[in-house]
Amino acid sequence: MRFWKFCCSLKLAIVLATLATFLLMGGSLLFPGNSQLFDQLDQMVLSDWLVSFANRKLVLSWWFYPFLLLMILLLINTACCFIDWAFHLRSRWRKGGEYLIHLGIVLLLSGYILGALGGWRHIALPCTVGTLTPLLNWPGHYLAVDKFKPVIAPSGQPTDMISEVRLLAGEKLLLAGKVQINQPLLKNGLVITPASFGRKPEGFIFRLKGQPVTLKAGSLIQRQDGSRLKVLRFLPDARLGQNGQILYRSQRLGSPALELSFTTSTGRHWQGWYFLTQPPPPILRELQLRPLQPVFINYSSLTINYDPGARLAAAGGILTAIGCLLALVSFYHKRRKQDRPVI
Amino acid sequence: MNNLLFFQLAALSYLLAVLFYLWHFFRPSDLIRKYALGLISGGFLLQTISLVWRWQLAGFLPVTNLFSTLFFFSWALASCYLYFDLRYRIGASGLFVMLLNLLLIGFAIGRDSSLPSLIPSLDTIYFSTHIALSFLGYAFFAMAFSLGGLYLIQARIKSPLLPDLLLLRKLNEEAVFLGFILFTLCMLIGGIWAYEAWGYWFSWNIKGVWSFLVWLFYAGMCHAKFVRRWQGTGYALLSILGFGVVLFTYLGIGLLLESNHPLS
Ligand code: HEM
Repeated sequence: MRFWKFCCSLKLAIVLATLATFLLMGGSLLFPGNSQLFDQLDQMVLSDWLVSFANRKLVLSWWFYPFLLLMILLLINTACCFIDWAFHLRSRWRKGGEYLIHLGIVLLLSGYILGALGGWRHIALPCTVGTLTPLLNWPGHYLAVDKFKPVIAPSGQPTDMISEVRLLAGEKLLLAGKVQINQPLLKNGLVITPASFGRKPEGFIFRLKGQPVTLKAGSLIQRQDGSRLKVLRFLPDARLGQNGQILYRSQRLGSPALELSFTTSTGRHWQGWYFLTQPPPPILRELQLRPLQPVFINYSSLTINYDPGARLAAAGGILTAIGCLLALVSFYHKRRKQDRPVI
Repeated sequence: MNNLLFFQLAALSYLLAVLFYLWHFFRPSDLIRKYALGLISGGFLLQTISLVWRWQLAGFLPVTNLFSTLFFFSWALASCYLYFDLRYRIGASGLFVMLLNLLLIGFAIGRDSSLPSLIPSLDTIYFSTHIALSFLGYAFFAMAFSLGGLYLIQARIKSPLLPDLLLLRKLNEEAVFLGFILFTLCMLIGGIWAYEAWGYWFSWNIKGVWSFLVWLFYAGMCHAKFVRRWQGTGYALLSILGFGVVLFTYLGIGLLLESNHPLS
């Protein structure tokens, strides 16, 4: 009985909240100077951050652990306080508003913990239009952006990013729809929102014996004389390493290169790299290739997160909001009656 | 006509109110006190006209830059004071609250008052509601700060011009409670907005963290009033400290530190 009273104690709540406040105040002042560590907090769920980042920099992150412990104790304290009230509902129903707030907070915090333990995040995942992007945190699942349209204001500022999206489990369609700024796609704790967009080089337009052709990964050109040119890979920025291997440098256009497979009209076969900043390899000379301009493809960066606690948190939020309105009424009622709880 | 003209007139009106309250302090007169209240009401009306005008010009509640938020904060504080004065007749306390209001206005004057176009992610009803609720909450916390300060003064000087200690204590508790309720609703709406915009409802960016701290602090204060030792002077000191946390969250983070919160 004494232990239960301790668990329901208001003074305990004040002590826990005060300690948590001080810890978080002090700890948060480390955020600006240590962005490599703390900027990651929003990039993943909390349990992932604790395991992959906080653990490795305990000098900076130690305070996070007692802070979380205090919040969990406050959660238990608040839950006990609510249960105690519920057992005395008949005499204390007038405090319904206050206690709805308490229950709401319990659900909100529980929802956060559930999401932090069982959820995952992909923040700003670049999804090329027309291809499947695998979700590393959800093996076997893919995101497909079928269409993407940025809306650009006359000033040049983007005002919206509209993506038509499908979420697939292998071949099975789980979710499909349009994603826009402030209009995410939601289902069972999954949320897909637009993050940004861009374009990346995917090949080059060439003049081939005077005729324009587009060469990108997968292009195949079958000529009347029987020769055959196939593009195996396109790298926007590549370099030849010292022992002959190809080094891939970046997604941006730098020193572009094509890996080609070519069969001449006489049946000779060649496979190798053509660096566009240099003349073509001798065997390709008969094609009279002249690079003209790069070809770009749009990609839409989407955020896809899974939060198994989202519904619980939403329920907590609704209860807290209703509780706030009821507590307003009961505050003035208590005022008139001059009552104070027994401490 | 300039949309800020009414704001400037409101500032003048508040300034005159402060002078009238000062006069009332040295030469107590019920008439002067009434004039001062009339000036605050008039100033509030003028500021409301200016706010509605700017809202109409912009097409959204203008709270996207420092000038506009200071403007809104000052308007919310004036409305909060009027609520307390009309309800409880707290008279000369207006001197303290309106001085604070003049400080906010003084900090706003000279800053960029243009109405920039709204960036797409802010173009949602959640944004306006989140900001309006947060500054209404801040206004009540500012009121609690003023009442806390007055409590400490009254405990020393025992002036008949100020409300008695018991009333000041109760008003302080009420300001904290109302501020906490408004700020809780602000946080909930902010959470919905963040979920729609970013895909998660709580962000660990420094502004988000300090908003949570403000909330936790005032949640603690909603309970501290039930502990006998914290009633009165302790509560007044906490209200002053709490407003320090509010000011750091509102101004300190934006001015001193960097954050990826949309408004810092
Ligand atoms: C973060 C968690 C909490 C929040 C946000 C919260 C919020 C509130 C609010 C807004 C009130 C109404 C205050 C008023 O009437 O002025 C209240 C009252 C109260 N809370 Fe909490 N609370 C929390 C945790 C707790 C805990 C852990 C306890 C338990 C020990 C507790 C016990 C009480 C009691 C006894 C009252 C007074 C109800 C009455 O008027 O009789 N609270 N709380």
